[in-house]
Amino acid sequence: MDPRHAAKSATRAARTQVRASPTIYSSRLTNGSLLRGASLTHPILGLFPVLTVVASVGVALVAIGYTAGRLLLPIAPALFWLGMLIITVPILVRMLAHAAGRTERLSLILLMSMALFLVKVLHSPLDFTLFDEFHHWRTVDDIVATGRLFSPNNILPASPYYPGLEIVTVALVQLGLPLFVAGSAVVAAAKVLISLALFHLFEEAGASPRLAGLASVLYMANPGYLFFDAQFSYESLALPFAAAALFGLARLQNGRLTAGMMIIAVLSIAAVVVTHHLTSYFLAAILLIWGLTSFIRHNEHRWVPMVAAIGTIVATLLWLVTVAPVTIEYLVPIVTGAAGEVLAVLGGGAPIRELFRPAPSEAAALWEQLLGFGSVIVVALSVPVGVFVLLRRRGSNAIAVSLAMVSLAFGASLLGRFTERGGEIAGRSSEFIFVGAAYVVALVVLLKLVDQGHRRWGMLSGTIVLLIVLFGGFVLALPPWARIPGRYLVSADTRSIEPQAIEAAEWMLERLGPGNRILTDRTNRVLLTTYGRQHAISAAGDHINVRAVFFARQLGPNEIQRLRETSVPYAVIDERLSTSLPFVGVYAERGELATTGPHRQPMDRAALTKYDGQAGVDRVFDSGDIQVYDMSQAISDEP
Amino acid sequence: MSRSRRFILAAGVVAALSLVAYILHLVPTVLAAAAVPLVLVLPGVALQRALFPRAQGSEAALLATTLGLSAVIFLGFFLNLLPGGLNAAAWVISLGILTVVALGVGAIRGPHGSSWAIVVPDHPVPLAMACAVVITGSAFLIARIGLEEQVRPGFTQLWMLPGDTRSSVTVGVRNEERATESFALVLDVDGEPVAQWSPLVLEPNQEWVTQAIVPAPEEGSAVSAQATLFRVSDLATPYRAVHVWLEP
Repeated sequence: MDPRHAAKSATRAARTQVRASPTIYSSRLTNGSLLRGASLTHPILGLFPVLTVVASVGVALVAIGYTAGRLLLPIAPALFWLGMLIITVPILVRMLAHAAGRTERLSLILLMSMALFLVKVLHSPLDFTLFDEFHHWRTVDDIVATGRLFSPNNILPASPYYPGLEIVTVALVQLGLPLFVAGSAVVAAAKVLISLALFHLFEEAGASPRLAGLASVLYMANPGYLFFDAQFSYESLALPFAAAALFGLARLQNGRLTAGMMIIAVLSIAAVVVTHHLTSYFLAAILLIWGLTSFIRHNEHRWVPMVAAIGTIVATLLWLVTVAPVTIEYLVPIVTGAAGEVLAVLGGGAPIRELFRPAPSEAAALWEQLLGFGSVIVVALSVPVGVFVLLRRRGSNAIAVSLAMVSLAFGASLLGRFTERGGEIAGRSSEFIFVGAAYVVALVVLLKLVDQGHRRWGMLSGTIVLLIVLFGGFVLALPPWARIPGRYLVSADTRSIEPQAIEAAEWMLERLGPGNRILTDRTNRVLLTTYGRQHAISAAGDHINVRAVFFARQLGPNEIQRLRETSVPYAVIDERLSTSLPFVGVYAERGELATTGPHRQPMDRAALTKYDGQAGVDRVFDSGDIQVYDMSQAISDEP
Repeated sequence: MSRSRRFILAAGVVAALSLVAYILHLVPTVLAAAAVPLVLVLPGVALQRALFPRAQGSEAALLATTLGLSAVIFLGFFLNLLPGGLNAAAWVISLGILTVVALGVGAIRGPHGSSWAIVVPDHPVPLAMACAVVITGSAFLIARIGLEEQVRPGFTQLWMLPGDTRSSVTVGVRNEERATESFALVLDVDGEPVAQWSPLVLEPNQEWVTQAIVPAPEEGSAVSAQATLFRVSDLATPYRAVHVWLEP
């Protein structure tokens, strides 16, 4: 059939469908008193145009909430959550309805994805302020400055060796866009890609547009979605490529073995391998599960996921060994530490980690804790039900069963949350596990709630359950103190980024030049490295331990000797560290707890003022809270 | 001409104009304006047309996004191998060539129908989109105002560095207090005042820098130069202080 003719037919069919079966929502809007005589539904896009306006109102309310937070108004969290409700509830309800067409559903997924991305962007609308973003900012700066890839980056050693995100951003920056705009544009493109890829993947798994749409929306409930995977960081781009690879392979396994689709799968896997280490490991794991499931079930074209899994493992290992061996020393301590902690907890040799642990001054509200637990419970209960349903159903699609198998990892990840490092890994794995979990939960919600029994009660209960899962994920995305901007907090990532420290970093670059080796805290390290283009020492990147000097109460011969050995002539000190416990748990870096033990009291002020009055130590800069000390003379003397 | 053909033609024109803009060293803003389509849109669309000429609608968009982003990444690795490395010229030329070649292949391979089934934007789409853009733009404005008006304490920077000679220091003050401030600055050497500036009136964001002459240190002994900044409203309390050791 002539494609133009086919498109016209589809349009006519869609118009007929909408006229024949108006939903309770569209009929109220089109025929009710709201706008009598004016049609707000589009023949193909349905309520998408109207919901776009509604979502933009939600985004505006979130922006007002952020501004209220900056002005220290207590209404800020209420405005934020109201905005989030306005963005999500109408879309969620529409996705549950039968009447919405495929194009409308896909458009609504893209709308929700972009609206949630704006929620992240508006959090800091002019500059990057999330902690990981500074790491990749430095890598971009290095590539722009040298025109070359793979320059070392001491604050995140793995970043230059997985430069996928940075390459695309550098292209935009070198053509004239500011880094913040360029990075945000790349992440926005990544958000579009993951939304499209997941919807098509779920369709390949046998889902109707309704189920695929709902599963795609539920994927946004994973705690990493709202902020972590919307930040300027390598996983934000690698994850969409992983989803695209899964879609390509699903299409191949479903019998559409075209050269083009093989190119898509291979390119996507290769892009994942060179963009983010952790995503490539998880992609390999998902493919292995999929391959094994296909073999056990004797599915057609079962070699597709298995060959892809083997290819991914080989490519990942090759890249790791030949290009990015630095990643091994970065990841091994985290993985072995987590495994050790889990075993210790299971053996009763270590205490269970306190969930929703209160920060130094602001604990999560009870309703947030209930939502967080509620969402975990809903997913944990839905997974076995969904797996059971899929396994019992005859002729279940191999990809659907494999997604169900992936979702089973959700239970295992919960175990990790009861330990410190395990909790970190569990948090990082949610975006991968949710590829399966979102599909399974959506299936269970539709089959067991929405489409069972009374239609209205089904819709109501389904909407409530979905809202619990979605908002539980939003609650877990960032702690309350980081979610809304506000006054400065000590060692609190985004809440510690403020003009005084930024201008101190810029002063160093202007007056002392780039590349000076500096002893400093966690926040000033990333600011000095990016705004100041300095070399702020980090244990992970420099293999130098100067923590003992940082926390020492005096600058004695031992400390001077250590600074001399490590060639660190500058110290940038933030006196505010002595005013509070650190919100992220550490003042300088993760390993400091081995030196100091868990922080029970704010940092000793003597440790911050010890540089004053020392022979050979110049206090060259003072902006009230921040001082810069030049210790060149002191460390150049013979002991 | 069909809608998709017009789109492809427009894509080719943008790619060509970007190339011309770069070659003629046109204003950077032209290149910056073309950056997003040139990097994030055109290569992907062109490659999708070349490799999947029959893909339609959302699937075409998915394939184009995947192909475009991955193509830019691997092009980056390729450029890294070239003597010039990654730079604006290399990007414009390589992306331009990639786009034009892929569009050519697509034109040969492609069906003569609509690959990008762009939904006809009839009522109420344009009105709704316009509303959404205005509201979202307002959201950006509100967030930006919040950033500018954020409640936070002001601060003043005082700094001092050894000067060009052994008997000089460079002293600077920068006012970030959000209001005009009057300061008094005193420079001591080994406790003896050697210079004073008062009142030092600075507007918000204004910086004052001077090079001050100090007694040169004698052989075998370093001297300490100290600069202390006071607010004129409170001359009893030092507001900022810095010091440097001057070696002979």
